[in-house]
Amino acid sequence: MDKVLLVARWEFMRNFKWKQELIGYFLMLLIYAAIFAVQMWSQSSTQKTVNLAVIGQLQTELNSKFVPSSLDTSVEEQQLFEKMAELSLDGVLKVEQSDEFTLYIAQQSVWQQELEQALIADQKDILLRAMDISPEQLKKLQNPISLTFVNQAEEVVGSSVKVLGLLAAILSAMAVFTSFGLSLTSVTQEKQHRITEQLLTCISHQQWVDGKALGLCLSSIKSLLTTCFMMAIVFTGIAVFSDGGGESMHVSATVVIQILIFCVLGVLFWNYVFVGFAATIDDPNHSGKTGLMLLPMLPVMLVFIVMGEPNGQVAKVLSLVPLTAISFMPMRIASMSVPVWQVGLSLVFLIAGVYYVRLFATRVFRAHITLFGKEPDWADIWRSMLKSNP
Amino acid sequence: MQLSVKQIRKQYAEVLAVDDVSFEVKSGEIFALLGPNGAGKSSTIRMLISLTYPDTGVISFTNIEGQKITKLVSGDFGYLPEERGLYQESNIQDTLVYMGQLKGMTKADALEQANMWLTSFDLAERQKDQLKTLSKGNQQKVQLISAIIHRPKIVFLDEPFSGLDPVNQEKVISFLQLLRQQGTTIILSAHQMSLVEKLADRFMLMNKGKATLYGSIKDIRQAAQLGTNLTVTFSDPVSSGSFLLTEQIMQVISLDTHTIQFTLAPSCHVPQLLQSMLTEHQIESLQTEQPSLHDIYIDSVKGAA
Repeated sequence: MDKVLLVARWEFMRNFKWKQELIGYFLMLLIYAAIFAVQMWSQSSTQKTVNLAVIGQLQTELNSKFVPSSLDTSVEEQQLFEKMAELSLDGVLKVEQSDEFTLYIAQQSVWQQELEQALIADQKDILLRAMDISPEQLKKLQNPISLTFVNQAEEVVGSSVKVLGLLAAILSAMAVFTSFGLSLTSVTQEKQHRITEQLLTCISHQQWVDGKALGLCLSSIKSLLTTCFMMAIVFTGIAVFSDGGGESMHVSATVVIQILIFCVLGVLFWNYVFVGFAATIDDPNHSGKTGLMLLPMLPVMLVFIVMGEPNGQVAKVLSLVPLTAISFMPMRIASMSVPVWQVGLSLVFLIAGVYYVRLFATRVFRAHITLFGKEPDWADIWRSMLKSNP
Repeated sequence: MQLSVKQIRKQYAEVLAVDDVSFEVKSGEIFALLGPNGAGKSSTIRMLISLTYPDTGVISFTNIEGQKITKLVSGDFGYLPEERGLYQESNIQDTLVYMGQLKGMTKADALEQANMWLTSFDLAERQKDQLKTLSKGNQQKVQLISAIIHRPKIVFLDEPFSGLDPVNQEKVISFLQLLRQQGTTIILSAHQMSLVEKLADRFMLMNKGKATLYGSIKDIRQAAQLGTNLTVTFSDPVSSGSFLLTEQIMQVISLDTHTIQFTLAPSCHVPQLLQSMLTEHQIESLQTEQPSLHDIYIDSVKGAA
């Protein structure tokens, strides 16, 4: 066990480059802050008034943002366009008919959509008056019923359940893909740098696989937690600086713990798969097997498809299957109150999955980690999975 | 730590890598496995350290207490593989400490040993550098340290001189002699005959998986049946034709007008031969030269081809 922990620590520390990570997170925060600042600046610097030349007769008055100067048809259009080019006019609105307009502009800006909306609203008013419908009647027509959604899962899970479900799925997927990158690099580098024989004189294949899977799992979970922390900082920042617009997110501790357990076990499961298969690859840039390492894409893609129905048949079944449990169960736990027996059964299946995947991964690893040159074909890998003795 | 290998055999698919090889290594000696590429040296070493297992035959070790062991545990032996490699991106000291800990050392002990060896190899100032920043020769030194950091009783070195310049080769020789002084048994494979000849106590020449010659340099010379070279410079001009080939003289070559080189059979009695020469010629100087390991090695490989 000591050697497993030694290998796990080595793998974790090898990927834990705190200086680079701090710089990376600092840059990420800086980028978020810059985006937020530019957004605020853009909103505050939007043009306050628009000088508009109107050719023809508008039937209603535009809102105060638009300062129209009505002109009769004797004014030469060409003169107006010249003024517009000199930027002393923002645009020329030509009234073709009572409900048909042409807007000439020198440059694109946000106010043009606003003008369109204002003209549409004015025209609606005119039409409503002509049809003798009051604004209240119109409102009733547009919203004939009132339906209030009360999600009782919020009492168990917390508020913002949809966001949390999505977040849980994205983060668990992120942890699996981090593991994919780390394990592929870690194992193939050791093969390429010919460290394998030296290590095998010190540790058994099982200790090596266990240590590696555990260390890389910890690296992925660390990345996941750090990202959560960074996101919390960003969300808090947005909430503070956006006049209380940010919604506070309440999540129960039980939910967080359950999600974390499934994440850790799921990442461990996938790490064993990756470590085993990576041993069959000499050079990840030229291997035909790297594609298989994208298998975890499947649960991630599927979870986005069924996210709207966390209690549907598909979500229920896939949250019990160890291959897909890492994405489906955290999504379900975050979105609804999942029956305890389903959580328990999924956990049992996942633990059993980890046990068997560890067994097969070690067999594949043992058979191929010291072989260089010709990569094994699928039949070789299958045979090595079934071979219990060296 | 003593080693006894009896009739081991190893076959990979169609290739018979090691064929009925037996030898013994005494405690505290340097034993060299010699042979061309594909002779079976690395396959033999891999079996000795249980990286692979012989199809047939027995490998056993006897420790200082006289107990027989069939498989070495990681703390007992050091191994330098033919294919070198350590973590290129990690710092040298951390890597050595990690390897030491994997071999059963405490962190403090591994750190102390790492620093001691890095200092003795003039690498103390580079201990925090990444391995990839070192020259090939210096990387090789780190590899050697990693193989022996845990003070093993027996060390297996597969081609320890490959890729080293003459200066570093000499350093490695001194290093191995130091290990021998400390009582470590060393088993190495090599191509550099001249280096191995002055270093190893006993040898085994291998070719195509078989052991062709085995023993001390004296035993091997005797078994190889290669003659000693006797170079004689005479006071008067002589021709090679004046000396007949006999059972004792295998070859006569004229090097210049006054100098003749005789290749003598191992059974030749040199004083008697010289006495008979002196009856007809006056000798100015003479020099004898034993066949080198290189000559024996080449002859052995040619003979087997």
